[in-house]
Amino acid sequence: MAAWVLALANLKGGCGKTTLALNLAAGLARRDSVGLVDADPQGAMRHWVAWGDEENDASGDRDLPRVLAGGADPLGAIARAARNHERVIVDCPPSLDMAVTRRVLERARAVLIPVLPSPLDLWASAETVAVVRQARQANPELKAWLLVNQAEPGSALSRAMGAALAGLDLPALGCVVRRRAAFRAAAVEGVSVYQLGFRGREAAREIDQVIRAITEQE
Amino acid sequence: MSKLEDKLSASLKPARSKPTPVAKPASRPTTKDRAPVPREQAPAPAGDKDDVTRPLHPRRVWPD
Ligand SMILES: Nc1ncnc2c1ncn2[C@@H]1O[C@H](COP(=O)(O)OP(=O)(O)OP(=O)(O)O)[C@@H](O)[C@H]1O
Ligand SMILES: [Mg+2]
Repeated sequence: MAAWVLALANLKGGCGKTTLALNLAAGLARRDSVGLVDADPQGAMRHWVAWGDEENDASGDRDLPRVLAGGADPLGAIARAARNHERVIVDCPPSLDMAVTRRVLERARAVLIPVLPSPLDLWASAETVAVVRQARQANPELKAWLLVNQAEPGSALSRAMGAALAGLDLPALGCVVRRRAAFRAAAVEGVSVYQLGFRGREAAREIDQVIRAITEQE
Repeated sequence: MSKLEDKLSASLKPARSKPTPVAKPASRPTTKDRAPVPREQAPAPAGDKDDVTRPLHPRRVWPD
């Protein structure tokens, strides 16, 4: 079972775990076989894909990977996905399920931690970094990166985030994902930004950059 | 470094020195105590099964 497992995790809610998990999975699926595991009982990612199936049935444009629900057994779902796919992307829940996040990280090859450009999100991410440290006791090879999501290049705070992240003991990925309407529009339509065509072009380019940065360091 | 960068970096220090959160070890059950009925005993919603052949969210909740 040598599938490459990437977790999207942050105990802080609303930082973009689900949005990035789904779009990264869609980007990776253009090259490799990808399974998605929804380890969040809120089930936003399952809903996104199920909605897409319903909405886009007629067009046949359904290139979103299948989602396995983690339910009470996210590790079992990861193992099942890993048997059938080369790559597995796991959407982790926010803080109430810290134990779930830790168990997923003990099984993952890499974790990407989205952080919004705001002091509150910066502070809260310190806790997630601590969970990465704990998971590395069982999984010393776990790679981890911070990624600023919803960056606003015109904002001084967004620009200051790069330097501030250096205080978190984990490397930043080296690129950022900007705040873009395309990421929300994709959810409304039940698709990834790749399927938005021209409207999603810049967002898709950013997701490609993230994929390149991660896979270069595999 | 700009003043804002300095301030943001400095503001992280107290968060970093907070005691490390303790996640329950992997072998222990993870059902949250907040739920009066443990998740395992609650009837699983249809969408919670990972069988790819059944609709995950049979009810459409998106507004028209
Ligand atoms: N780069 C982006 N640009 C614009 N909107 C975004 C971006 N990333 C995420 N969003 C929006 O921000 C909100 C939170 O994103 P998302 O649900 O993916 O976060 P999450 O970390 O999975 O949240 P939770 O912790 O509740 O599971 C959503 O409304 C989403 O559409
Ligand atoms: Mg989510």
